[in-house]
Amino acid sequence: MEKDQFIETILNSSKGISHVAPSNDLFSKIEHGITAANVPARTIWWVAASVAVLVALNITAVSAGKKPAEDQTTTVLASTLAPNNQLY
Amino acid sequence: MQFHLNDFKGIYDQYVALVYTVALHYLQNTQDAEEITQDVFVQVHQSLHKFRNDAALKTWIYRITINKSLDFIKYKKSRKRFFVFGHKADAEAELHKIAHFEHPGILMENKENAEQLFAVINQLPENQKTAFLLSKLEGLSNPEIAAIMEVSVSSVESLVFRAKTSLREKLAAKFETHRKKK
Repeated sequence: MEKDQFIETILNSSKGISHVAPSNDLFSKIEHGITAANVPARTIWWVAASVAVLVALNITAVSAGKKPAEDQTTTVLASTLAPNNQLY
Repeated sequence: MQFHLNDFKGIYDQYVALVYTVALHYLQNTQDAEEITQDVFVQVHQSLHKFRNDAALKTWIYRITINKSLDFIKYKKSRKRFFVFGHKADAEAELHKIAHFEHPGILMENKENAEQLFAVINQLPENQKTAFLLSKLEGLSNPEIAAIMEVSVSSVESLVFRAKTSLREKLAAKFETHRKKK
């Protein structure tokens, strides 16, 4: 008896439930979400391509920058050697 | 067909309370329900041009809200599992957020009992839970629920019946536990 009453009370606690509205600033958040979601695919591809070109240029610049250092070492080494090929 | 933002604002004004409240039924957390509402309306805006008039707009919006809410629950459960192995403070904060019951649509005097009701509703299988929430909390008819869930009316009847039986069993077990503690 007591158990049935408990069950009914709990089950009936949802009575009078009403629809409620969220905070007023939600619509502006949604508008922002829509704008972010509406970035054209072409723009995304352009950005990706630009990043790829930038990375490629950086790699080229770094590898080109290393070469003179190697050459310089070779030059210094060569200058220390006697130009007439005599050991003493 | 491109929809103007003014048309969208009209749809938003008409259905925002419905979406937010249904999300609250599933999540019982205002912050999470707002997140779901935001996601639902972004999807509504994106897919409005694909919308076929053979299904009512309200039915379609209900369906998106339910799917988003169920996905969100799955995501939260997986995160909860991850937090068991994660940082202790984060895990505690996450568990506290899940345990904290919020549903502004419930009458103040019913809040404590409703918290117990939602605790057992949350244990129901997805389809029983949806059928019960739409029937008892949203007050929809069985044909309306059948259209939203894309099942037959007899299936809805069966789901609501099984949900009620299961809820009664779970509440009876809860009552016994509660009495033993006393």
